[in-house]
Amino acid sequence: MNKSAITVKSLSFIRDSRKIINNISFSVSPGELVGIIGPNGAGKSTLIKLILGLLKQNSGEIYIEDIILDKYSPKDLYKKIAFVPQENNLDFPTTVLETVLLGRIPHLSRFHLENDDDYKIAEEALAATGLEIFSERFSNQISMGEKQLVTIAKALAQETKLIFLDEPTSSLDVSHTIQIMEILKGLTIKGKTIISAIHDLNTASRYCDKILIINNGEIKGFGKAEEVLTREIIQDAFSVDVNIQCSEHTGNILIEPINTKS
Amino acid sequence: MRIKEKLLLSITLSFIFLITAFLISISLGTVDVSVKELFTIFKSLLTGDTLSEPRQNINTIILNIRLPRVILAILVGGGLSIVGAVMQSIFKNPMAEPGILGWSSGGAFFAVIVIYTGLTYKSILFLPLFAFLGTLLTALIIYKVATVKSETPNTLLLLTGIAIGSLFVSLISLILIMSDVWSIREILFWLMGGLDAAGWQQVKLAAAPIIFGSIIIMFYGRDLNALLISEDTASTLGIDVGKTKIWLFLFSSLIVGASVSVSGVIGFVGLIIPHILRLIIGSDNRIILPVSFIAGGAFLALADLVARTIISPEEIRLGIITSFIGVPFFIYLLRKNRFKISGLYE
Repeated sequence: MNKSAITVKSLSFIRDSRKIINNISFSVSPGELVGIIGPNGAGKSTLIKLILGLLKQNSGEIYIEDIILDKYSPKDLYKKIAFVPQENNLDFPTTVLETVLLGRIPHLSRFHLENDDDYKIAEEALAATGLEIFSERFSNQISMGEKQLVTIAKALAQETKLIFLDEPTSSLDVSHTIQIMEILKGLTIKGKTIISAIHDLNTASRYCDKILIINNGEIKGFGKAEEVLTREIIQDAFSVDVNIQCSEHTGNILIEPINTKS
Repeated sequence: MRIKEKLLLSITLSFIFLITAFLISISLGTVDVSVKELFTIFKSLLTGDTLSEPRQNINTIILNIRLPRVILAILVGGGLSIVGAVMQSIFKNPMAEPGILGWSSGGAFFAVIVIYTGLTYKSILFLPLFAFLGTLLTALIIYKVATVKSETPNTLLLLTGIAIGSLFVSLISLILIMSDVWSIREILFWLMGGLDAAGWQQVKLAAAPIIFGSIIIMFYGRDLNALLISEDTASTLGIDVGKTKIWLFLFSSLIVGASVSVSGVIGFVGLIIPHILRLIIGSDNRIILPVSFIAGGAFLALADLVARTIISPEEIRLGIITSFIGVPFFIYLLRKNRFKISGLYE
């Protein structure tokens, strides 16, 4: 049987008698970069939190590498999946290296300090995100984009096969957006599976192997960019009329919003 | 520098500070005793030698008055500082300290009840016992009120703490209005915080909860580092955030309860000590927690020394001294360019 990285079967989540996630099923293969897109409040973050075990579903099953989520102990689960949340407080003066070393927590017992191997792994994570020179800088002295890279490096130091990100580029400038997406893309080539909520359709179209479009907690489309980023699906999910072209430079789909569909 | 070396260096340096503060606090007072004499006294304790007549008086002062007082100062200062460091990390809020959660006001309220009703005269243990249990009870009430659908959001907890704390302050004011002059004096004296009642009995009462609570808390340094970034980050590193918070609150309230019970409400220590240390050694809680305890203890011992010697034989309330020493030093550190290391401290 072909091992899947993640399988979600008939997943539903209800909060305050409202269905936030409604009977969602999909499967992600190892080494894929999957973008989750959808309007604000569509259920993107909730879906990610369910798969991460931060929320408990009302019905349905989640499998991580073909093992049901409930079977994992927290430590074992977070040796498999890492998370880069949308908001991180890096206001207290911790160094970049110290923050990245937090990724080693699932691998260490309460009574052990990080050893040379842990430092080596953290330093490699810093190198992979281009942050070596910031190693001893304080996390609150660096830019937003660099902060986001620090949390990605933390996830790398966790040495997991899967990484989840919640809108990692939402508040970044275009150069940091490209930098982060290139890094993520590079990681999938090295065999990591990456699932990221992405707010910008063109970023998703350019970098993701597959795109999962959700709205009102339901899947509106799941597949390659050219299959799912169609005018009809986008209208259905975002209530926006769009013009779709093909980029002369990259060959990617370019989406240009025209006006809101009433 | 790696964590092991940094931890060792920070603890060694803060320990030297503590020993120095301890020796200075023991030797100075209405009667000054030289460090050499101190050692003679300590040596006689160990060897059982009898001391000459004048030495015996000094012996009594040192062993029965100063020693318990200095030890109590170290325990209370250390305990309040470590709890301050914990609160600031859990709430990701630099303003957090033991007082802000309303715990101390709750403890104080119960102590004031004891004074008002005259229970103090029944047994000297009533006051510390009520203050201690009152603090724990207040912490529990605040936690319960702030828990909705088995979740305890930080903002709700902080605001509930402030609200219930204010309620207790109002109740204390109400009792003050109804009290006679003597009780008012006694209540105010107690509310301003001080260690003048310190004896071996108080040390016995406070030592176990403060030391035990602080040691347990020290093992949560790494969890607090993760919590400092975000609760989701901590959860996805395998930390049970809910349980961790409950344990930390439990042991923190134990420490604050024990501190309030023997010294009244001493403000500022829990706020300032962890911040000063973060400015010097960064925010790694595995270092900040033990060093907060050691340095916080040393700080309060020195502050108490000032409190009891500056207008000797009269005493100034310790709470006043901690603010007088702490505030200018804190502002100096904040403004000093070298320490402008972060947005937080700019």
